[in-house]
Amino acid sequence: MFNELAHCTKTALRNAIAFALALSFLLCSMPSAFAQTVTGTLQGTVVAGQANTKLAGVAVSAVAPSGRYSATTDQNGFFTINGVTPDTYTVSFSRAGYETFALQGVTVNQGAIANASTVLNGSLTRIGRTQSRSTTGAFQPSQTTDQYNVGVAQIDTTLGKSGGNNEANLLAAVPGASFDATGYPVLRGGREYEEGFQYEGIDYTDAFTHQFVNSLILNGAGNFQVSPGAGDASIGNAGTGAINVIAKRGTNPHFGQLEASVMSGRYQHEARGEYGWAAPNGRYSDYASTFFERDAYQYGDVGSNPLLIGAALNGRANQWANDVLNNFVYKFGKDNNQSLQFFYQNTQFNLHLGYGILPGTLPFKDNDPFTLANPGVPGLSAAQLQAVMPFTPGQRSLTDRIGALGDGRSISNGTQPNETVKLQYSANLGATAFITGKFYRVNNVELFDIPFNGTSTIPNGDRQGFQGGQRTGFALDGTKQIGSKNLVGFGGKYEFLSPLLGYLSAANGVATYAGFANSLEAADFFTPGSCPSFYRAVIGNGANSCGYVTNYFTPYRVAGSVACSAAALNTPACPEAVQLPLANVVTSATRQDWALYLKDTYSPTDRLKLDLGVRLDAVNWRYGDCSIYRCLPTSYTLDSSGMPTNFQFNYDADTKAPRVLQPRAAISFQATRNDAIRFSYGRSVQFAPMASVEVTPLRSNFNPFNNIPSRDPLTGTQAQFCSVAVQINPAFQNAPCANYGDQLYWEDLTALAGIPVTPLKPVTFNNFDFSYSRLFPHQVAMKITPFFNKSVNNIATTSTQLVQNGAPVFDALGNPVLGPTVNTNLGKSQATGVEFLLTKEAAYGLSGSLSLTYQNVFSNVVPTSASENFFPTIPPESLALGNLYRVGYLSPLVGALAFQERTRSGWRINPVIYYNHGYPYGSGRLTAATVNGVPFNLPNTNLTNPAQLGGSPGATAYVDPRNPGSLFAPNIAATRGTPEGSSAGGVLTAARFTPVQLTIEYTPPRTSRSTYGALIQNLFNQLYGEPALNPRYQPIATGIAGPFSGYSSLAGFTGIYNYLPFRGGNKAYLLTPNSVPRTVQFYYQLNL
Amino acid sequence: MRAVSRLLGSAAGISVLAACTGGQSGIQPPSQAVNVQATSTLQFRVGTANYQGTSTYLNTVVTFRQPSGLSATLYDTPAITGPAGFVVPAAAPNSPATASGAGTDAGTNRISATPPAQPGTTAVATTFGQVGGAFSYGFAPANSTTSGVSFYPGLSTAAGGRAFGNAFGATVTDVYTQPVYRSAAGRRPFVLGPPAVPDFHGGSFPAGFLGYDSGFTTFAATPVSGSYSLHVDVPSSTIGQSAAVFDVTASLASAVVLGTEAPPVVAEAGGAGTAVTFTVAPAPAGASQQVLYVVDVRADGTPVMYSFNAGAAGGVFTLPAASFAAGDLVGAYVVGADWDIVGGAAPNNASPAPSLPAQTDVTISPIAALTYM
Repeated sequence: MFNELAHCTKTALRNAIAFALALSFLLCSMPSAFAQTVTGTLQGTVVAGQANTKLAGVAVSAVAPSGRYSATTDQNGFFTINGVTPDTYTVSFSRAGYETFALQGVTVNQGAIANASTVLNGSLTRIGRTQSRSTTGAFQPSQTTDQYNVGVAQIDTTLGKSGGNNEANLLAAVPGASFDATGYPVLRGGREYEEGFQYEGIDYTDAFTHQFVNSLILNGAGNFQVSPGAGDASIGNAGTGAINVIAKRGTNPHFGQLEASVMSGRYQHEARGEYGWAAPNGRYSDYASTFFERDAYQYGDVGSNPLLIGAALNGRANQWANDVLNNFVYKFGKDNNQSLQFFYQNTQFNLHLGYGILPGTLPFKDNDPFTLANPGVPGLSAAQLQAVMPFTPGQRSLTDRIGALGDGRSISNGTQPNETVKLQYSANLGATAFITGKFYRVNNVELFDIPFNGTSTIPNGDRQGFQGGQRTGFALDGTKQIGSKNLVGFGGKYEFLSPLLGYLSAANGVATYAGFANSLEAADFFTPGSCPSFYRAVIGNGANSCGYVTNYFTPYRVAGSVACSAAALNTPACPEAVQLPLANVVTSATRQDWALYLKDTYSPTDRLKLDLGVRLDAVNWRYGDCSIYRCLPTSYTLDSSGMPTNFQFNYDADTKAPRVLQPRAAISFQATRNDAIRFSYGRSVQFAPMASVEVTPLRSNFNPFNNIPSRDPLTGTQAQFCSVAVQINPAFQNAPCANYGDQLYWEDLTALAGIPVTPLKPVTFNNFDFSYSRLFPHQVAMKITPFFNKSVNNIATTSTQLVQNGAPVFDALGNPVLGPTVNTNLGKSQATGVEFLLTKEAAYGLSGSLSLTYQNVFSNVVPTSASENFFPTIPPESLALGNLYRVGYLSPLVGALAFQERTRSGWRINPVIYYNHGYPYGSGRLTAATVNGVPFNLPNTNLTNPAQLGGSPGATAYVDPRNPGSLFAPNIAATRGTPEGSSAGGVLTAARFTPVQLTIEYTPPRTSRSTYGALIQNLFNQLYGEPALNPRYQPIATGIAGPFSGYSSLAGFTGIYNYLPFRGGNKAYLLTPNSVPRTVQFYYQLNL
Repeated sequence: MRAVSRLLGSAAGISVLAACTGGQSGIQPPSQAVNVQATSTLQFRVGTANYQGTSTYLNTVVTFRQPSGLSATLYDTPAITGPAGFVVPAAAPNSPATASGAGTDAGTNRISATPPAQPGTTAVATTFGQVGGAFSYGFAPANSTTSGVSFYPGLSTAAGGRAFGNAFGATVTDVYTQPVYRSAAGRRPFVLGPPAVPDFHGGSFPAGFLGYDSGFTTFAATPVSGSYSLHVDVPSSTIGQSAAVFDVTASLASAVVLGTEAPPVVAEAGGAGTAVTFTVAPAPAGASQQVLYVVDVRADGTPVMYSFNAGAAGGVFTLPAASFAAGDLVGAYVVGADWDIVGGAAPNNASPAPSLPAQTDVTISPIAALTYM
């Protein structure tokens, strides 16, 4: 098919060879992606040039630093080599009577077929020749599914230098990917958890939330593959797309690099190194890579105090990261046709945040103004609250200020360790089959220690815990060439997921008793002699209104018993009350994921390829059968006393043991030498992460109370709320509590953690895309890909209508009666867009890529609402109205330009520029709210705020308080003066080029072992994130803010929340410095 | 699962932080500001208030509007300075504390509000405090805060509404009950309800909306003839600096009061459970207009306001039985005035400067009440 290349000019040939040596990304021939595999296929057809006949018996050898393979063409001139380690190969063809021909620069990617068809000319003189295959960048004429492969060279260009580790930046430079509004990379409009991520063919997402486990720190990547959309049948549980990263392997000759760097303007230094080697015969190879980074992160202008940047403002104090990776391969058997791979990675990521509070003034239990002002338990004085409140985890006494001085804890601390092991066996079974079996384990947990979370969201006052888990799995993948036209792929996997969650909180421990009808329970924890007057009055039994629990404890403390003398009672050492237990929620369920797939790549000609496949993804949830003690009933009946009975749990198989069959089909056709088209359709699936399904309080947390009989302080009788029924309706109290521990457990569950198990269906996507690609002269190529996807059953938190006695429940006005707020599958979204990629390849001179993505994404989640992009919530009013919004977390047009100019004299200039057309903001002129129980899209003013009507939080229009008008036609007397769209997120922030970085690097030609470089980060010094609605804005008149803007007017909070001047606290919107200032990283690299 | 969502969101934040890469930069959205100084119109009048024929107080009327007739601003700080001899009585704040005490105004000739003070510091106690300002038709405790709440008359206390004591023991929020400086038992709301103004019941108006301001505010201070000045300061985003300043004066030419207003006669004319009639006598001497105010206090303390523009002639006015429930306390009182109280009120009057006489006097009748059977 590429016999025309024989007629290329010398210039073109030289450029192609140069590029083949320098760049190894974006091979033209990669019709499919076996994402679970880490090897590719090399195949082709050899034709006799003059006779144009298939040539049998041609010896084919493929040689690269990381491996050597051989094959012989059959009677049809066809050869295939399966299980090829990704690399750039020189493929040689030889047969007696014909010239010897070497095709250079043939890049094999994981899961891809690299085509090495060629023409051999008869040659009596047997003069050998060589020729380079241009990898042609964006021009991928036989690729069936939409896919982008980024090799080492382009990774280095995108990240500014070799060894760059910013995975988010790398991903966002690929078409179809973009930064969401929080800086997290997402694919084709999906949410943060709606994409798959694999490293070395292993699912690298945590077992609890399905987030990337490597903290988006890239280490040792040899190839970075992104498959927007469904991909082929080997890709599963990947939502809107999948990323598969392959680690480098050791080579012969060896390679390596050591690097040290320092940062100007702020404290940061980094050391990294990599080394890869292989035995001359290829039997042993090893690759090791490591880096260590220490960084006192600086947001805002150089020299600004990160502590003053404030709570939830990314006020980072410092972070460090250590990462070690090793990839060892042992080949054995005839012609090294078998191999064992041992892969190991250990990542430690640690960060400490400043929340705008100086360490010496950290407020904790003894004087925490937030908790004391919002005790959650009514009627308690500060001292009484201190007596009953549990210590913050780690706190030893009432006056022990955690995080202040001495204990080394910052205001917020996080650690993300990740350890991954893979053992893989591969074998070529004859000339046409290849199988891989692997065992792997991903251990990831995120530890967080936040002794003081100084936000307005008490009860999130203090938190300590962990989340993550373990993923252990087995997988088998195989490919089998059948004839010369069919390459069959098959495989499967079985994974055991063991999610972990622990979430201790003292503040939540107090709040537990405030969120439910029995908030009087705190009285039980006080001694009669210390009974607060509030309880005496409300319970009406004088001093004996208190003391039920204290009778069972001496002294009055659940944990950390203290021997108290009588004289010491009611002192800080021996408080006047039993401490309430800490809140602690956990997840206890496990699950098993399994999948099977079968696919065939049919190649009737070199120009036409057809992929057909089917995939079955399945989950076995291990949370037991639903009952009123585990799940929210889907319906129930009422008995003669009006209490619920006959609970129904009509959760179908899709929620209990989902099996999703996903057809995949794709086709590619190379119309001319320089033009190709492709089309693919695929159904894809994303299973609900455990975090959405099951989180419950830890029952053993309340064991110290098990020997106390249950007693509702309000009635003085056994509490009756120990089932999920009370969450349907607080009046449904007909479930006796076995003891006081049970009582506390259910109270905690009801008030804090919610429904224990909410079975969810998987999210399913239907993906369509089409590509046209073209190869231009001078190794310039482009590809343009319109796409569309539509998803249903997206996870969203909302309320749904109750079903009682088999019928939906309505109130007296005929409006639906809603049940508790739970996770549902009621979300939906659809995305339409266009991806564009332009590449220019050259070893020297100008090279690089330009990617652009236009995306028009709609969802029924209110844009720019809290957690819009991460387990969102849909207001029931909006849901009832069927509102569909343009999503607020994406810029409609994003792009990335990463290029370099490399000179033969050793200089390299490498700018990387990202662009976004602005991010949606604004609260909108309309919002969904309820009037007389009926939902409407109403004018969005301060009348429709959640406190009054349940509408979306935030409005920039204010009614005349003395003439407010109706909810349908409010009299707007003032606005913030900022533009607003019809709905939230209806206007865009200014278009920006960010982030922008520039690398200037010099490698002396005569001493090429050393490289000196400077990488300028944030070249334009853009420091602020997208504007967020100022939640504490005091309207005076249109465009005029009052002097209290930025301050809270809530009792107990006055003066605490002052948004500092550099954030624009008195402006309509707040700007958060979330970018590092313009700084220069100086680095030295020693090439080994 | 709300708490879990928060947990996950927060925990995810760590991952997100790890992912922050320079992120997306932004700039402050463009904003256009109205020229309050140029577009707002402040009017101020003073007069006398004949309180039930027993006391003579100071009456004031203020309008502070933008061209559309809506309130000029959502926050301002007014201060009335009376002539020599005018003295604000000492009056302690009633319960709740937001009810109007005199504070530091006591003993001076100023009825003032407290300028914005640094949050967290103790604000100076004045008659209006920081919550009171001049609005489209009268002074009102409706100055904005940072919580985005509209302090309309009748806002629930749970949503931040500020309750003011009154003779009915009803929950009256965000309306100055008058005369200011009297004890709660001597004060009442003057809120215009239907049919004098378009009906706002039925659920399409803000929850609990009581009605519209009557424009006047009476103070239990002895009026003194002379010039009264009103200074209104519209604050800017910086404490101590103003976005606009307005100064107007009003003259109390005569301290002679209007004739004493007789209380209406309230009855269930058709017997228990029937419509309630209110009989208003002709206006007393000097009064050209009369407004009948009806307060229906429900069993839970919620008031429902009605009013009738009784004109000079008075007459019999009726509210249907459906307006009441058994056990309701139905109170009624009449205000006579020498200007058209209802005519200048929202929502019908959208003039930036409604017509007012040179002096605005009122005469307030005693309360007549019955318990609806």
